[in-house]
Amino acid sequence: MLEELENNYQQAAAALAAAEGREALAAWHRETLGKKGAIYLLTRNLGALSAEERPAFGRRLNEIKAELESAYDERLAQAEAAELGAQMAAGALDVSLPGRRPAHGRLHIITRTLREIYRIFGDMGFQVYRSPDVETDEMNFELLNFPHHHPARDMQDSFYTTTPGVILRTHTSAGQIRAMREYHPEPIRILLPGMCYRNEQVTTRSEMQFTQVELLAVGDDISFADLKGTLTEFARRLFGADRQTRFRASYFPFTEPSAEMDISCILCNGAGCSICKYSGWLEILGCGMVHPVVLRNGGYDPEKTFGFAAGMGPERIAILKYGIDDIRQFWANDLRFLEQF
Amino acid sequence: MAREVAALTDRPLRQPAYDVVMDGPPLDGRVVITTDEPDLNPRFVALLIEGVQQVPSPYWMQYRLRLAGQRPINVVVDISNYVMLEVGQPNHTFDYDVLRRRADGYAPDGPIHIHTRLPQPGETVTTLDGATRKLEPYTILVTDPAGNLSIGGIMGGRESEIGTETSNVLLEAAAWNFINIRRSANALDLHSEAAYRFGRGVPPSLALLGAKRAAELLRTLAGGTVAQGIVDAYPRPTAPVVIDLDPAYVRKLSGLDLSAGDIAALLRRLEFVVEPAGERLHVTTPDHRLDVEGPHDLVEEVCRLYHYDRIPSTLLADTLPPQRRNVLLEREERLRDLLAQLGLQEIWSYRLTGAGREARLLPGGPPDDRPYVTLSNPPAPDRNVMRHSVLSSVLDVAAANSRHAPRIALFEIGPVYLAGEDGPLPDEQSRLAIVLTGRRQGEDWTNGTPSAVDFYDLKGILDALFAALHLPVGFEATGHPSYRPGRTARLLVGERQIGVMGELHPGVARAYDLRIERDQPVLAADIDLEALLPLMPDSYKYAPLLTYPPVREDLALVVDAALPAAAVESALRAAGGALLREVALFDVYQGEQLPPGKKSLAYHLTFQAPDKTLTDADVSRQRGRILRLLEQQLGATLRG
Repeated sequence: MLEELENNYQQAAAALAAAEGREALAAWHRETLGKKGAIYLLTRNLGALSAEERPAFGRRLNEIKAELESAYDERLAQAEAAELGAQMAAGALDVSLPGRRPAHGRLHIITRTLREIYRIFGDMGFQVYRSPDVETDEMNFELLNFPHHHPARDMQDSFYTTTPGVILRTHTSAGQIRAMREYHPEPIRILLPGMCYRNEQVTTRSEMQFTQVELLAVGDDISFADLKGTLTEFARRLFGADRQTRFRASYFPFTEPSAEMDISCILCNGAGCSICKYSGWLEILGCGMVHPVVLRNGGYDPEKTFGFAAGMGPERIAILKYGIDDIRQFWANDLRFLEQF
Repeated sequence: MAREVAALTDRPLRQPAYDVVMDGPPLDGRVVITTDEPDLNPRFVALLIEGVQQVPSPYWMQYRLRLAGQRPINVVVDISNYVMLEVGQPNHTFDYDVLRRRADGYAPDGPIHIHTRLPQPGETVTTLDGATRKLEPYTILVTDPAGNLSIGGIMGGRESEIGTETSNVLLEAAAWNFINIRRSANALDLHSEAAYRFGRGVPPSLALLGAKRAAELLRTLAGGTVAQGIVDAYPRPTAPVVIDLDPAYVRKLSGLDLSAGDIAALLRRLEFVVEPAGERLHVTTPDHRLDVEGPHDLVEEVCRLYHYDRIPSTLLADTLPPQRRNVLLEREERLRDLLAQLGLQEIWSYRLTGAGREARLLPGGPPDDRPYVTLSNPPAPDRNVMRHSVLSSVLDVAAANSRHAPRIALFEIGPVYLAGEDGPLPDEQSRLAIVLTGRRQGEDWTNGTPSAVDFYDLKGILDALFAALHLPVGFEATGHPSYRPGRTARLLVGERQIGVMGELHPGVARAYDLRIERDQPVLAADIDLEALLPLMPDSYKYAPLLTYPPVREDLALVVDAALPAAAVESALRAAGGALLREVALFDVYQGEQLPPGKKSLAYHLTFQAPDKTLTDADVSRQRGRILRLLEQQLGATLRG
């Protein structure tokens, strides 16, 4: 009996080793360990064994069953893994084929540039103040210390409307007086963003409409040194921490002293390249201390109140950051341009 | 320029000599000058040089004139131009004999009388260029009793011009009000070198220096004899500007720690006369500096000479102003973000347009009769007004892109300009315009050519937008000349209309030259942000997630085909009460299985209670109530 058991065991183990695939394994399990399997059938003969032989036979039988079950489980796991592997190998993709791109929207490059400017100055306490595109000559020029027929008006060719004294603003500085009159005598830190208009030939370098952000700070204790520090901080956050700035004397009727701020070239870092025309510097904004006449027109006492103002062009900033070669692209809105940002 | 270089380098300035040898017969009694308008013509200096030889000017002068872009002509003209460049004083030369002849006609042997005055009404003048010009009432004329000689500071007259015969020269150097010169030169459209320079301000002190320098050059280079004496009409000599400067003001404005002595030393380099007065400084400006008016101008001079780059950089230490929210901007920016997230590309377009361009939006309807902001100097005839419609701008951009882009999904948020009755400025109102056309998504190798967008694509974007805003917006069928009849809705928040959306009228799409495939619709929305932005809630309540299991039921209702689905859904929600958590339409059917004029709407309904597991009885009670109420209210029946 025991001999037969061992024999069957040897045969079953050999058959298990030979079975390939899940189906063959399942058939082996049925034939070997099932209700009509070779091992099970031996238990029917237990009655032929003596009482002394029976425990040893039973023990051995259980051992063999356990061993075969465990060997079977192992083989089955191997077979399943092999099958999955084959399946996955058959399902290999060309990973270089293009994916399905969801149609996604974007913000215009000017919105993004404006937000970057808002964020940086927002951290320094400056908030956005909006004023109208269609302005009075008084707000745009006169109260900003540009008298009628003043040569400074030549720098900004205006669009005039058929309503006398009403023009399209030539700069967002036009909102300065509005803000001062609204907030005085409180201190002010604001950004004046918006569209400006100048009667210029439209070329790759100039547009008849352009955005501008004006910066205005008014308070008891604001100096030219604060202007330099604030704008240098801005330039470093926008164009990189290692940016150098340079201030050159300039003229604007509504600031005194007035300056132009240059930054070290973002492409060559000052070494000289075609972007900076081999000067190492890029002109980025005009600025200055608010003129006493403007402070007075805004309702402040220019002997006790000081302020600075700066004006920058988001298009100019984007042009420098992304190497855009044609300013007309901003309002042409060709999707092939917009989708690059 | 030389002064700047001298000051910046802190070296002495070299100036031309202004001495003149006068050894001719006295001028006194031969020339008289009257200036009527000392505000517009503060100074008028005249010198007489007799016996001038018509020789070429010396080579060095011709060479220098050429370097400065001037063409040498003859010695008199060359000297006049040279002095203008060297001293900065434009001057004028008259033929003395011509003036004498003119004077003899009135008062033989009397003096030549030069009179500067405003013109008489309708008076004209013939200028050197041969043109006869009408004069503005503010333009100063230089005249003698016989008539006009020149337009003061702008251009000489024909008759008294220097000719090849001229041997006696009356030299004029005058000062003019710079703003009046600019006004006059612009009105006359005469842009001479003299007008350019006078239009930027030439100090009265230069008139005398310029006259003397020119006279001396005519004497030495052209062999003339200078008559003794100078006629100088300068009734109200300009007083030097004296500024009381507080060094503390300089320190505060500049951020520089400079002593009174430092400040004085810097200003003296620019020829300011500085006298200490206690803690303060009395600063007298040199008379060539017309631009220095007050202490702030002196701070600029100090900063400039100190050098901007040497001024320290500091961050603002002043009181932080009250921080104010800009709620409308925040909400506009939120809309921008949401619309981009919903797959739309933002654009910024031109705000100048033409009434004809915008009229394309209203093919059959009455024209837009609201007044425009109109330019008097437009850049182009069809860009002469500020826009009334953002949608029109977006359609132009869509049309331009339709030549190459298979999918167009654009939006713009920006102002329109409604010229109004309240004051001279227009009402600038914010609008949102959306245009959607072409393919639903980009073509790719997995899906071939995707289908075209339709009404419900735009509707879905707006549904998602308003859901994200937590603002319930109703859509109600309406008519509008820009849109296709039967495919147009007005957007309502309560009773308030905030915009219109729909399929663009095919005639409008054609008028904008949208290159789209046949029968492919163009969807558009035009939303009034003046109405929408104030309605956008700042905050909203979170709805807790329910833990008891939901029960899902499907319900297909047969209603009149004309009944809006929104009416069915709102009736469903009202009838279902709090237990009905979700209503999702999954099928709309109209056809032979139903009686004519009927449609079937099939919904997934989700019931869920916050505090218990719903039983079949609970749900069937709810369902029965829904059916009963919808039958009563809408005549709806259960689809069998």
